[in-house]
Amino acid sequence: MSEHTVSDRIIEEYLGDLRDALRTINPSSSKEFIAEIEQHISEGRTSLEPGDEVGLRNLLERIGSPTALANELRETEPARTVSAMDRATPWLIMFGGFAFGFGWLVGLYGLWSSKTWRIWDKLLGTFIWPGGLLGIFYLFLAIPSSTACSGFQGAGQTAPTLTCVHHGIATLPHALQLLAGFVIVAAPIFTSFRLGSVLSRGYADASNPRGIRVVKSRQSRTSKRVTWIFYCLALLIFFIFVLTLH
Amino acid sequence: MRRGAIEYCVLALLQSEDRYGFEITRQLSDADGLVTSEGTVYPLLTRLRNDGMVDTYWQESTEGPPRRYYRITTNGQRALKSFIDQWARFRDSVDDILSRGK
Repeated sequence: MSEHTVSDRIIEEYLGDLRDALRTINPSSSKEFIAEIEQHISEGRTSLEPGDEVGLRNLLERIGSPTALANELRETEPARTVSAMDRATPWLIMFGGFAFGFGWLVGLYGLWSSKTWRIWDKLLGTFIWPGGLLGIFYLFLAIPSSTACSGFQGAGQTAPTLTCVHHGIATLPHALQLLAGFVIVAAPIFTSFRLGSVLSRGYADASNPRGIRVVKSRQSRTSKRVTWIFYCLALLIFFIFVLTLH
Repeated sequence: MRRGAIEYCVLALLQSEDRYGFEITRQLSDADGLVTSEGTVYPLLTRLRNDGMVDTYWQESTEGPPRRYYRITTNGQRALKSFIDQWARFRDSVDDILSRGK
């Protein structure tokens, strides 16, 4: 491994720790802060020899430990407040569709106009699934299997010859139907819970005026991976469903 | 108190010329006892910008990546001037009280 790669790895590790330490901070502030620190590191590196590991470690030490920086940022950050709209958004996304679809649209506006959620959560809230739980309701209405038959009655035949084509969910094995149904229904519920959990992360209230909250269990890399696999599976099943319609 | 004073030190550094983040943090961390870690200066710079005390612009650098320069605003100059007056009175009073204890 070359020296250059070692330096890069040290920096990646440091920035990774910093991102973890800043998880409870308002995402837009922490993003800007990380960009400043990255800029500071590149600036500091220009005066170092390539592969000067000691120099690099000194540079990072002067910047400060990720935990200390996170504490400092929490102190200078204005207390984060959550608007009533933010609180209502995860519920509107899940159930708003039942209010003639209008509630879901209001939820969508709340989601995209808020600084609380990051782009990935906004995309998840929008596309899994459009209309929230109502969207699923329509999906299941649309998808139940249909059988189209066409045939003709030849001369001398007492019954017509029928050719039938099956469409929809019934073409899948029974166990797969259940699993697919479960994943598709669980996905929007999971999305709303996710939006809600981002919301409850480090906001100010009467008992916690500065909005400082210690996150008891950080989302591990494995659970992150499981989350993404779940969503990919949900999307895959959704597309299979749509395809079986045609 | 220290954090409050550091913000004005930043404004004072910008009085004579515009400076970029790395330069400001280095100057502050080289001064004895002002900041414990350089990274902690950035949230202060952001706050000064949000409060309209400084504004920023990007400029190409010959030595590395483009730099974000900080420039003191008229509001910043006004705030600095009033701080300097207050600080002188505060320092004299503290010195006075401390010298009585000797």
